[in-house]
Amino acid sequence: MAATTPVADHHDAHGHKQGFIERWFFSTNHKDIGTLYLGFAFLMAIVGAAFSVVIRAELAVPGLQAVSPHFFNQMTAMHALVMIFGAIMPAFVGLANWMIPLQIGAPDMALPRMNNWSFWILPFAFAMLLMTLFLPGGAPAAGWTMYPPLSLQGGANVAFSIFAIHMMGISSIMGAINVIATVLNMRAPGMDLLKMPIFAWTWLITAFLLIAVMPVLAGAVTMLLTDKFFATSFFNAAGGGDPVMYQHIFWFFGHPEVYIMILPAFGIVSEIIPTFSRKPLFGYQAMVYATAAIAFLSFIVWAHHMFTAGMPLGGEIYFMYATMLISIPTGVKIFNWITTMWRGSLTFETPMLWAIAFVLLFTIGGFSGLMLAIVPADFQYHDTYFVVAHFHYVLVTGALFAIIGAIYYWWPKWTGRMYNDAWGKFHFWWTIVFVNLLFFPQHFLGLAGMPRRIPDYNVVFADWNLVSSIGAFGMFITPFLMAFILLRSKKTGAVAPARAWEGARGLEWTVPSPAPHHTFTTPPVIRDSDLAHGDVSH
Amino acid sequence: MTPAQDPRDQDIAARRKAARRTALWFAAVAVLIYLAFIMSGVVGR
Repeated sequence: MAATTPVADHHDAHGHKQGFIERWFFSTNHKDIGTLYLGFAFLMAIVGAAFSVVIRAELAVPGLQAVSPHFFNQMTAMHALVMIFGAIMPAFVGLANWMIPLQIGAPDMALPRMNNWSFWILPFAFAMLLMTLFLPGGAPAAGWTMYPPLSLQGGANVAFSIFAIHMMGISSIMGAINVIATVLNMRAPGMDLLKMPIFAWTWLITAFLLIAVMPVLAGAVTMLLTDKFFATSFFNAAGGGDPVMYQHIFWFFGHPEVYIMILPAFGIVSEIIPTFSRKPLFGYQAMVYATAAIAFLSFIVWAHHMFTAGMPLGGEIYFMYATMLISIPTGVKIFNWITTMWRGSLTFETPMLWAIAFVLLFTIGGFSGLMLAIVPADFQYHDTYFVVAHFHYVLVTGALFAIIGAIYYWWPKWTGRMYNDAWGKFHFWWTIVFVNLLFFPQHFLGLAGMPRRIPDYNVVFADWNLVSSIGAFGMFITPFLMAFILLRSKKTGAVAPARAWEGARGLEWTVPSPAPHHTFTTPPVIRDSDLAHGDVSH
Repeated sequence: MTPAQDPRDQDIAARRKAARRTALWFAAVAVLIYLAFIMSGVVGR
């Protein structure tokens, strides 16, 4: 057993009790800030899901019945902005805050005060974004991509939403800097980079992506702002600018952004599957290099989002083949997860179910992505519900499923309590049924030609739209179900041991459950048998 | 007399100093990327 004993170190003996305000508003503790991020992400997920219920209520039957077309457009834009920047990304930052110091044997994040700051920017950013719903002219209604000239036709919401995006970007960059500084400088002695848990690795690479592309988004929206309010013409054709240039800049950010939301999910699944297979992760180093390869490739494929905007044939062919290349390192990961399970002593506790569902359903999203990469086919699929189905399989059954799996996996470590596994499995199967009712029919609708971002449609699309809406209503119950399961566990759950799962490996499982407020102020002595699923023999 | 500092605290302090240096470098890179993209828009016109 490693000497990971400083469980109640000298800081806990100070006798200083933090009040509510001091603990939650001025906290510099990585665990508290992780909890804040996760709580905020949960709240935003409910807000974003409520927007999607409005969308699906309108689309349940043909015709206009629930909301006006303009408000419908606001809902599509706000749903995406809230889910991407308010739910998925902060949830991953919360998981990073909680787990990276515990996994690498660090006492805290490297820059704790900046950590507090990077969280507390977010509520103000989202207050600013959400209050646009109550402004004259309403919220942004040109989609989360904010293509000019359409996005510039909004009223006061343009300034509010761009300022909010700047704040979210600053928060993300500060969070990413903290992850890099922590991983590169705060690892316990003996925790070599290639011994780190794969979740820490995927987050390190994600942090590099964030620093490279969030300033690009900030630059693009700054130019939008000056076009709107200072009479510049970066994207205004009448003034000599080029609106297509905005699309190039946006997607130079936007495509790596997709990987920012999925690489940490790969890391989570790579933690859960070995634990419940009772085997080390197959091909640890290949997983690390595949993650890095995916991150690199994400920078050179952006224009596959805009084949129909017009570009030279050579450009289309290049972006098509470059996009297809991503399937190679992604395939390495899928096969490594399957090989990890092969001949393992598998058990199917709640986190494992979410991880297996991730592998199966994310692969569906990957395959439809390959279809979209084919230029002539993309001309058919572009801006249809097929695209909506594709990216929801990647971001809901991919990123969100991994986040839910992670919460069920590390919950006993965070709270010291087990949850009712039967309830967890009920949550899983309920979600599986309704998420597929929600998104799978959208493939059929898209292939049949139903365009996205419209509040009304031809009656030939009616049946599958009704099925999809029923799926959305069923899905809206799931966050409340999860909250019930977890709050019940916090009150009445069985006490969790330090190693809550029999097959779990890694430093986080050597400290008691719940993890003490301060851990590893004395660096642990690393023994290979305690390490996660890294390559201990290198 | 100044009491001798715990070597453990010295180690943590040294690590935090290195972390601050890392953070400043990456912050500078982020600002440069932001400015470079806006300048590309200005020069491109």
